[in-house]
Amino acid sequence: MLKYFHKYANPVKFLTIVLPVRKIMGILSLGVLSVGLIFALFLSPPDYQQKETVRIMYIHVPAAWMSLMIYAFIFFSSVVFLVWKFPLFLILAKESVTIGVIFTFTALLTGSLWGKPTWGTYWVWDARLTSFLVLFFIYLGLKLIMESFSYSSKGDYTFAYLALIGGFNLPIIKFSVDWWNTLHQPASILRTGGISINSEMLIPLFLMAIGFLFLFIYILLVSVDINLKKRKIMYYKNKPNN
Amino acid sequence: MIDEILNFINMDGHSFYIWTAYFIPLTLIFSYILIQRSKLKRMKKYETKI
Amino acid sequence: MIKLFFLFLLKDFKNYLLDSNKSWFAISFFLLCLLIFPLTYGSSVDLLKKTAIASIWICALFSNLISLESLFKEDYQNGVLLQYRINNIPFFIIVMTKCISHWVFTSLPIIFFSPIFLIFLSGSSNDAMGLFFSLLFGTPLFSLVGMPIAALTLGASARGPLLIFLSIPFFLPIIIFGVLGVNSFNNGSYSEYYLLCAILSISIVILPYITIKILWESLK
Repeated sequence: MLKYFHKYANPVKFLTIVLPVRKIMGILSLGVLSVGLIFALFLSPPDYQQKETVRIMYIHVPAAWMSLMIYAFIFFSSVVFLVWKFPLFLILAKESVTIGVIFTFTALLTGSLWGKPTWGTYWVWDARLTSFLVLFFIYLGLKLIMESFSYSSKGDYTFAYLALIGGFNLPIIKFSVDWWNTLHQPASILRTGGISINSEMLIPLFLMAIGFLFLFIYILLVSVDINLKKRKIMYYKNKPNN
Repeated sequence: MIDEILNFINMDGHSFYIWTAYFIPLTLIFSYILIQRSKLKRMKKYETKI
Repeated sequence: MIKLFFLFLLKDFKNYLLDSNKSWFAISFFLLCLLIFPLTYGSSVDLLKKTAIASIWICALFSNLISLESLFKEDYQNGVLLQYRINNIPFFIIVMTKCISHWVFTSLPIIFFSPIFLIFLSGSSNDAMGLFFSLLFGTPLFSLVGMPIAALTLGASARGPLLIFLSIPFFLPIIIFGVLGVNSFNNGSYSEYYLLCAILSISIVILPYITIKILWESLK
C-alpha cells in the first residue's frame, strides 16, 4: 500500500490521475447539489415546530460538517508532510484553508440566521457557537501565516506546525468552552432538540452534505493544479539559461 | 399560480432569513470556484507560452 | 548539563536585568492596562467589584502577549541561536531557560502583587487566595503555550500583529479555567485548579519539544 502511496505522491503522477477525477467530481457535485437544493427548498416538509425555517438546516449542518472535516484533512496532511516530507500534502493542506474559511463562515452565518427566528437572538454565547468561532479564528490564523511567509520556503514548516498545534488545541478549547458554558448559562433557551428528524428531512441533508464534499474535492483539485502550474512557471522563469 | 409562487417566496414570513442563508453562502462558494477556474485558464495560457 | 542550565539561566536573568527596558516593560504595561478598567466603567464601584478578577486576568493576558514578541527575537536576529546550533548546545536548555526567565520577569511580579491589585480594583478580599493560586498555575501556561507560537513567527513580515492574532485562540482555555477557578474557590471546589495543573504538566513535557523542532526548522 505504501508503495502506491509513494508513487502517487509525486505531483506529476498525481496530476495525471487527478484530471479525470476532477471532471467527474465537478459534474457530480453540480448534479447532487441541484437535486439537494430542489429537495431542500421544495420537496421536504416544513417542521411542525419551526415551520419553514427548518430549511436553513440543510445548508447549515452540512457546512458545519464540512468545516470540521476540512480541518481534520488539513491536520492529517500536515502530519504526513512533517513525517514523510511529501510536498504534495503541504500543497493539499494549504489550498484547502480558503475553502475551510468559506465553509466555517457559512456555518456561522446560517447559524445566526437560523437562531433569530427560533431562539429570538442572532448570537448566543453557547459552547458550540463559541468553539466554532474559535475554529474560524484558527482558520484565519492559518491563512494569515500563509500570506506572511509568501516569499520564502520557511513558511511551509511554519504552516504545518501551526496546523498541528491547532489540531491538538481544538478539543481542549471545545472542552473548556463546554465547561464554562455549563456553569454560567442555563441551557434551557437553547433546546433545539425535539425535532425528530424523519427520513424526508434526512434525504436533502445527506444530499447537500455529499454535494458539498464533492464540491470541496473539485475546488481543491483545481487549486492544487493552479499551485503546481505556478511552481512550474516560476521554475522555468528562474532557470539561468532561458 | 402567482399566489402560490408568492406564498413560496414568503416562506411563512421568514423569507429574509431563509433566502439570505441560501444566497450568500452559495454565491461565496461559486464565486470562489469561478475565480479559481479563471486563474487556472490564465496559468494554462502561460504554460503553453513557455 | 545542570551546570550549563544554570549558566544559561544566569545569562538570561542578567540580560533582563541589565536591559531595564525589558524587565520593566511587561509589569508597567500591566499597570497601565489595569488603569483603563476603572476609567471605562464610569464611577460605578459595583461593576468594578464584579469584574475585578476578570480584569486582572485580562491585563495579565495582554502583558504576556506584548512581551512574547521579544522572547526569541533578539537572539534570532543577532545570529546567537545559529551559533548555539553550530556549537551543538542542547536546545532544550535554551528553550527552558528562555521560558523560565520570561515567566519570572513578566508574570511573577503580577502573581506576587495580585492581592494589592485586587484591593486596588475594590474586589472582595476573600478572592485574594484563589486569584493568587489561579495566577500561579495559569501564567506559566501563558509562557509555555506562547513559546512555540513565538518560534513559529520568527522571520515573518508584520510579526507583532500576527503573533497576537495567532496566540489568543490558544490562550482561551487557560483564561477560562483561571477565571472560573477563582469563582468556585470560595465554594470549596478546586476542580479548575486540578485541570490547570493537568494541562500544565502535559504542556511542560510536550511544548518545549515542539518548540525545539520549530526552532531547528527556522534555522535551516
